[in-house]
Amino acid sequence: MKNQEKLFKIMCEVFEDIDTSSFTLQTEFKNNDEWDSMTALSLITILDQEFGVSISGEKIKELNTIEELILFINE
Amino acid sequence: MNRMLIIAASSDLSISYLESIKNDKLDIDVIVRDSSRIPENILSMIDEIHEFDLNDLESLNRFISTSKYSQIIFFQGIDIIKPFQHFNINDLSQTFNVNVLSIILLLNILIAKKYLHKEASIVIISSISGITKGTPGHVLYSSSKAALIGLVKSLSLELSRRSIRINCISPGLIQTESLFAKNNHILSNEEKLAYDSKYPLGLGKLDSLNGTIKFLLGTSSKWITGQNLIVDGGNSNI
Repeated sequence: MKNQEKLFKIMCEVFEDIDTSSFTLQTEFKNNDEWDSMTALSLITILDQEFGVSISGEKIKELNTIEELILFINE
Repeated sequence: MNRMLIIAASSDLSISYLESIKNDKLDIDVIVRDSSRIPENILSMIDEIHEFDLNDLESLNRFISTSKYSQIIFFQGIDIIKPFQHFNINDLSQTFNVNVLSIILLLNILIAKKYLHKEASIVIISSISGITKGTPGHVLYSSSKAALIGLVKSLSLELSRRSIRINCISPGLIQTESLFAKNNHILSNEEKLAYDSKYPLGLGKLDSLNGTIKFLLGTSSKWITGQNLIVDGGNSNI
């Protein structure tokens, strides 16, 4: 699935210090030491650029796993 | 004789200021990108509308006025919110063209073409972002707004021989329509509440600057030039 691959690449861009190669669909992308308001803003910016998707800070709070994020993008 | 020029006149702060001077006897010209964004009741107060895109610096050279101005206000300000590493050259040029270079160029034209009355007063809206506070995600905005302080300081010395004054106002966070639009996209309600707690007098309202603008434009402030006035509801005291 194209969006899925793209999103894993994006995660690799959003995070600098944690290893994203082990990320799966079930990974909770906010549940790590590097996640903060700037990584959130980074994700918002890149999703807008790559998918043309506007996602709010509120929405990101609701989403936990990468799979949920993909479902939101595909909506 | 008392003619005013308002730049970026369709901004929320500008509309609020115009409403507040409805009953003053002033001739008002505006520079605006799209005059259809100015409400009808405000439009009727305006004598001459100059449509320019402030991001298009070359076009500003075509600005021609038939009269001289005694009051000038610059309201422009765009804020592209991104983590620093995501800024591209387009974000850079857009921010600095609109927030800084269009002001410098217009002042240059106004002075060179002798469009300023003796004892005119110029007000530029800066921001506390980059002056009393740093704001993550807003690095371009902060650096562009901080540049205006330097502009005002040095230019005040060149303008003083004709008793022309130029000052900055650095407002704290004001609840404008565009702020809400932006915040819905990026900030959560909790973050909005967190902002509130940083303002002892509450977040700024659309009319929170009007008195200060009027003061700096008028003769009550005739011994003030080259200054930056911080109007932030007490935010910087925390």
